[in-house]
Amino acid sequence: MTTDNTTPLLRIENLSKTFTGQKALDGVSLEIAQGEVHALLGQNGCGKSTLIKVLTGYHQPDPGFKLWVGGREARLSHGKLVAEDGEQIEIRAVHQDLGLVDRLNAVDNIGLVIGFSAAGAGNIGWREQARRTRELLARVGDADLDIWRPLDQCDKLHRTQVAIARVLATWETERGLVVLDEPTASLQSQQVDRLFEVVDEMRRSGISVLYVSHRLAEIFRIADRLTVLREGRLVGTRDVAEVNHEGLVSMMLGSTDALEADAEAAVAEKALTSVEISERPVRMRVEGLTSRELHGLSFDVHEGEILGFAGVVGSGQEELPYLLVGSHKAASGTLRIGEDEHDLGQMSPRRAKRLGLGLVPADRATQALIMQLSVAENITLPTVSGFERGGRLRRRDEDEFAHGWGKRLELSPNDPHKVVSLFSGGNQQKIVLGKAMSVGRTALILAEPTAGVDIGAKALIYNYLRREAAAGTVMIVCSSDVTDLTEVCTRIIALRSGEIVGELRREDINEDAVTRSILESKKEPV
Amino acid sequence: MSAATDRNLTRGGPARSDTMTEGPGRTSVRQALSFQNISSVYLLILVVVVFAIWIPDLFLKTQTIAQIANENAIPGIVALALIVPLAAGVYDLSVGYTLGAVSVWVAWLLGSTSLSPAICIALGLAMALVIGICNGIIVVVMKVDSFIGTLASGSLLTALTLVISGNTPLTQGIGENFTAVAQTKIGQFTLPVFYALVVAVVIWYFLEHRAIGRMAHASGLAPEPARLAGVQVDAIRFGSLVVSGLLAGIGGVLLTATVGGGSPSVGPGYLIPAFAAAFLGATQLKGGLFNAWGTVLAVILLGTVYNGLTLAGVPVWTPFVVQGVVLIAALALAGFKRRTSGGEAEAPADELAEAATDAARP
Repeated sequence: MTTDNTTPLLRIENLSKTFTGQKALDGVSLEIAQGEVHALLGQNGCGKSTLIKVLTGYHQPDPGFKLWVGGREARLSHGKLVAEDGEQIEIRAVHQDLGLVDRLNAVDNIGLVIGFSAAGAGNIGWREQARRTRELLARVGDADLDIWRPLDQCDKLHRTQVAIARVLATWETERGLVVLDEPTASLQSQQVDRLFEVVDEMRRSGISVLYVSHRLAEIFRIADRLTVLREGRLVGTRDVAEVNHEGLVSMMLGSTDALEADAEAAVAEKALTSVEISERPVRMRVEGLTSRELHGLSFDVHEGEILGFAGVVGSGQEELPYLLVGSHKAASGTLRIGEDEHDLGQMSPRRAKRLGLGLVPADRATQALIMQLSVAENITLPTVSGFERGGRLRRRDEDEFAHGWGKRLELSPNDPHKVVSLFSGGNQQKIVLGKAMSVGRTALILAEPTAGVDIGAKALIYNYLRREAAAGTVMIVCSSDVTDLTEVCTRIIALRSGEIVGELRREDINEDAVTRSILESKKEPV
Repeated sequence: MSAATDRNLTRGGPARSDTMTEGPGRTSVRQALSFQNISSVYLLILVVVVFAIWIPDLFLKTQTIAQIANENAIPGIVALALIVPLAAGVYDLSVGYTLGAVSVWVAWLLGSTSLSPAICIALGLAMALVIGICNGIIVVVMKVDSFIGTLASGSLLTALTLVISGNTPLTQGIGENFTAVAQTKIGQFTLPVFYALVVAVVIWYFLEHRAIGRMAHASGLAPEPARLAGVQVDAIRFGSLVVSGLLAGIGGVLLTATVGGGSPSVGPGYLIPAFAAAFLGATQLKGGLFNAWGTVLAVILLGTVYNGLTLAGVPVWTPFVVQGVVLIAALALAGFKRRTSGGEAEAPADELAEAATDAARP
């Protein structure tokens, strides 16, 4: 889609935003055409979130900022852009956390926005309400959702669709912009396909979409044009057809150095692991692991191996890490480490810690980090008793310990006293890794190790995992992001409905093969 | 007190994005003395100045200090009792009722049995211990929300208090060898002031200088990450409720000894001031974490306001108005500061964490 000769729907001019002396955005200008999907890219901390927050009225931009709608100057007013001549366009965002009330169902969530229609005597007319809800959900291709089911029992795709339906529910103008912030985070690939149909439908109906994602492959599939930000500045806007993956990465990183280093490391790693891993000693063996989702899963992990688990929602891939550390209770199963056998039905996070199993949980903010505490306090949390000497905690030892991990993981800034909420996503993930590594002498168990991490930090984390594995650490990676698996794993097990349906050896691993292995299988799901 | 302020004052303060150049463990004096960090000290100075101008002959006496300390020692112990479960992420709304129940129980034992004061005190504390354990069972084992669970146990304790006392104040058989535990003076200060300081030191030591305290804070701030890190969140919460019950029981024993009797109606009155001090205290020194010395500061501030106004002879309702206003102002200011300095560029995780802890907080 080219927009050369038409006036853009929306033009952002000279957008700057300063926070306590720091420029988060510096003179950014950007045009969005009507009915285009415009990708907004950049590493964590590049200013994407700030830009979205200015557009949705959450932040007040610095003076000098101008907005144009269809060639006329406009201003933001209650979620709409109002042009000089009175024309209005909607501008709405679906944030990454979706902003839904998860305990309530789709009818309630949509009702909170569109209001509840009254039947007689001031009661809510539920039948009418349900009809309108279904109508709205049909617009986002989700007519089959059980609208009475609380959203916390629905999967992420349904919740995303409800969130989009909610935005469209009160859409009053013909044209407008919907911001989708990381809409595919933790979606499985076929769910992503469904979501893209929704985005396509929005585009066809003339709505513009500002699409923010870390998953570059998606950009090439869905976006018409893309804009890259780096350190608060505009790098450029391109037609998607004009750029390739490498070009895009170098726009985002500013140079290709990091990428080259990454590629070199990958080559070195390949050479190293060409030694037949299966001949190395078995360090960990799981037998008959049974739970709600898994049915008697057994596998071995060899020394220096990074074993990946692939699978869609409900396959057991997501539950596996939590079962291994006893956070979710397994019905039965044994874990053999060396000569010792442990009952997985009796596992607890505390016991797992003692056995040297370090966990990187899937959700950084709610499972891994205590945002109000410092780096040191987070990293030492599992081992904090060890820092007591002479009847009191030795803070200096803690700081040193945390500083050591920070250095190893290239944490920036490597300040043990800094509160973790002030770090970018990638750096937070390094803190999580450090914490897991500090207890994971037997094995490191990672769930979604790069969720919400930008590509720069992703490359660092991948490199780090490879290096640690080469040094002999055992790792288990469970991820819905196929790239995670293909980049680091030396073997991948595909799960479906709680059973192993395929296994890929190092030389067979690529994205297509992984995707195929989790979707196709000898057995059809019941 | 300096040891309590020696680090991490940057927490909740304006973010410093540069790397540390001063070396670990150093925080600037300016930050330590900032209004945000010790607002209650500045408010206390203001309050003292106001009363010194308003009622110089009544207020500016050496006894005033002792009077404030003596009157606030037991409320201080209850407030300190409360911060232990609050730090660990559970409410104990039964502290006031526990204090009342133990108070009449000890008074009844002294009046209706021939047991020695020491035994009576021991039985009083034993009852407090049992109450704490019951709260632990209700909240941790039976998984009743702590707010409702301890409110319910408070209701049961009210009943118990009425049964023991027969709904009349008990003043029989309370001799001097018992009241001495609270009425003995060192200088102008009664013993409970020193007990309160000992309690503050012990809580400060365990919350800030022992691993158990770190694990308690972790359990309170973010129970799921704590649990996944191998912290025994349930055990810590159970223990914290036992501690708060026991400390409230000590308050009850001291109350009976101070007033020379047990009254069935006094206990609940200790709850709100204790909460006020605990939450105001959390805004002090440690930027949002419940801590002992912040609580002590808050008790002193609120106590001074109350005392000064009483001396000035204002209508009985006035001190409550001022207490309420001071509390809201202090909390609003701290909240405002945190929101404005927390809104850094690209820190969505911060908001997420906030939402997560808000949801997880009792």
